[in-house]
Amino acid sequence: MGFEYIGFPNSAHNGLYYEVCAAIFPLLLIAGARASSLRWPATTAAVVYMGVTLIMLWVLPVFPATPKLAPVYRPLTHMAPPPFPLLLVVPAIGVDLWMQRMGTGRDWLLAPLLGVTFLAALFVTQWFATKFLISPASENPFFGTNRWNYNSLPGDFEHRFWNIRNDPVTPLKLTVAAVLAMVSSRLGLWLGNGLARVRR
Amino acid sequence: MSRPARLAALAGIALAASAHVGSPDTYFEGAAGPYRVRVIVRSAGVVPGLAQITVRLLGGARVRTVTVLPVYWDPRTAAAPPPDTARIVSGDSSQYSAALWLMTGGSYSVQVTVAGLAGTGTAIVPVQAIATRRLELQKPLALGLAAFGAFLFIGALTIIGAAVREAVLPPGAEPDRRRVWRGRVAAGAGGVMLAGAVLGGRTWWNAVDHDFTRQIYQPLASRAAVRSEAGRAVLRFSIVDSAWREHRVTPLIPDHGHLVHVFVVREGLGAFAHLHPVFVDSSDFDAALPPLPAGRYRVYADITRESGFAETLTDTITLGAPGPPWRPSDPDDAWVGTRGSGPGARDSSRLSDGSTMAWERGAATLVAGQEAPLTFTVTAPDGRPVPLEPYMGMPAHLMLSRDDGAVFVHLHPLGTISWAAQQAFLVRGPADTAWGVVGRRLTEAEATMKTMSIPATATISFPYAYPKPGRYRLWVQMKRQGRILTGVFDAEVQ
Repeated sequence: MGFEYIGFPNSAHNGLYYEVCAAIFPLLLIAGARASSLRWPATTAAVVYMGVTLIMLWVLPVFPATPKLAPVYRPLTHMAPPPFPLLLVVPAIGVDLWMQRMGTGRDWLLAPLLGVTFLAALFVTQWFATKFLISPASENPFFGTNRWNYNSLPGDFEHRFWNIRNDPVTPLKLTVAAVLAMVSSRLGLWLGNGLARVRR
Repeated sequence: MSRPARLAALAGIALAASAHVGSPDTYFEGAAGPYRVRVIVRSAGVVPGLAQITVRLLGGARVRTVTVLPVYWDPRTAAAPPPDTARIVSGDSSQYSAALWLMTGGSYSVQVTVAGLAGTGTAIVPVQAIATRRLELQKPLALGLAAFGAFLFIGALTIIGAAVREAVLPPGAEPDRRRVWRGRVAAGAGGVMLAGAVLGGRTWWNAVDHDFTRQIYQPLASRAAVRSEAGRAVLRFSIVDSAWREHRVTPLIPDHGHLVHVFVVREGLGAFAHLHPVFVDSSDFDAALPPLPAGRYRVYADITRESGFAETLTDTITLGAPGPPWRPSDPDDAWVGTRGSGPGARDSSRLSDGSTMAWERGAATLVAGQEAPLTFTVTAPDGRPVPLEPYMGMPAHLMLSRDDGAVFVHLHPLGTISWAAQQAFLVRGPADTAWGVVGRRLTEAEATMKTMSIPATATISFPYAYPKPGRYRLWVQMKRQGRILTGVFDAEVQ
């Protein structure tokens, strides 16, 4: 549901971007990690997410396609790839390391650690990585070319961060995001504990 | 402001805000290379929407294919999408139809290309994609969705309850009383959360609906006012819309040599004037009013913007007693009263030079939505058909209005399309991204365009279908021996 706020790297300098990420991802990663028997469960989940998106990014542009509906502002000849995925694998490694070290039974302590670690790792990774991802230097087959809809008018919006005047990243917004990440982590642990006890 | 004046002002605002007085559908008759075609584009009324286009081949030509292609006006578009092939309408080999997606609101040219034994030709039909209505959710669909939603809601509560009650029990074990109650509490809590989600969805739905209603087409806001200059009434027509004043829409281009065509129609349809106000500044236009009888009048102003977007702006004025003899601001101006407030003719109208205009309407009842017979012949007093002269580059102009003013349309033998819009699409090049370039080119070419007018004959027909039932009055204007003649007819449409 929150994907429209985090789908494009151009949103990665907005406060809302980190709030949405902090609310959603810890819950999903940590619930799965707690219920899983893998050694690196959160990392595995993040790798699968990135892998699926990357496969789409690399495979879709191989297929020829023609825009069918006017107005056509970009003469695309092949399918457009999705945006480059979030580098979720970095915060996921942090999540796995903390969960390995702390084990079970100390969830009220673990949740804030996981939340803060997740947000800090995500913020540092995405803040700098997206600077590259929105630059013309990233327009190559690996990171995706011709990635905009044929009905979007070409413009400088492609190479700048959006809406940074109205929604900049501030210490307050990062604090809100950190609280959301801790709550999301706690809920994830709780849900994961429940899932781990399910009898099949 | 007095109470009646306030009521009148409110009525004026209501008329001005009542959106679309023109034809929702587009009618065109003309040449696609060597073929004559009649094209009807039926608007979906919503954007994005699926418009239905039918192409009728006139004159029994043999053709191979008919393709249709909507092209958005913006010259920054990179390339046109591939055209759609129109299919023969079953049982009528001269009629082809296709569906066109109009994705973005605004001005399109629909290119109708006919290929056959005589070669290939293309007709350009300007079409406006505008939202004129909000589609209602159909009741069976709403009921089906509600039933499905209820099934999902109850299903989710059942799953939550079952998961909390017995997910951690070994197979075959019965949940104890405590577990049963925990399951019930969890299902209740889940129900509250899901109800919250449903309420959030409702808020979202209403917000989207509100955004859509705000996009429903409104013509540019305009104002008509009458002032007296040396005893003569002068109409000032002004475009007051902020989008216009802040240059957020493309500028006007001349249609038949005039930036604005103003039609002044008395309430009750008893008097009518077709005027061409002169340019005062980019938002204001003045026209000397003819000696129309006193009363309340609706003012319709037809404009075409450089994008090819043609629209009718509306306002109302009140006129006092007629003043001294009229000095028209433009030689193309004309007016007609219908001998007091009497009816127009049913099928034959005497013109001011003694000739007669006959409407070949046939005996059939006129029905809304069906192609209307609109063929007129002018005969001299001795009964012979007379040749006509082009009037503003056209053989004739037909204006029709429903008695309540909710429909007003300005037609030509070309149909409902704006001739200027068609020309704008023809002369616009891919590099014409600066506003005003196409308008200047059209103005410069105007002198030659007048000589390219369609040859006028004594019989004129207009492709059209009445959009709504009701009582209509038709004013047919043509030119003979340098005089503008207006035939007035009445029609009852079922």
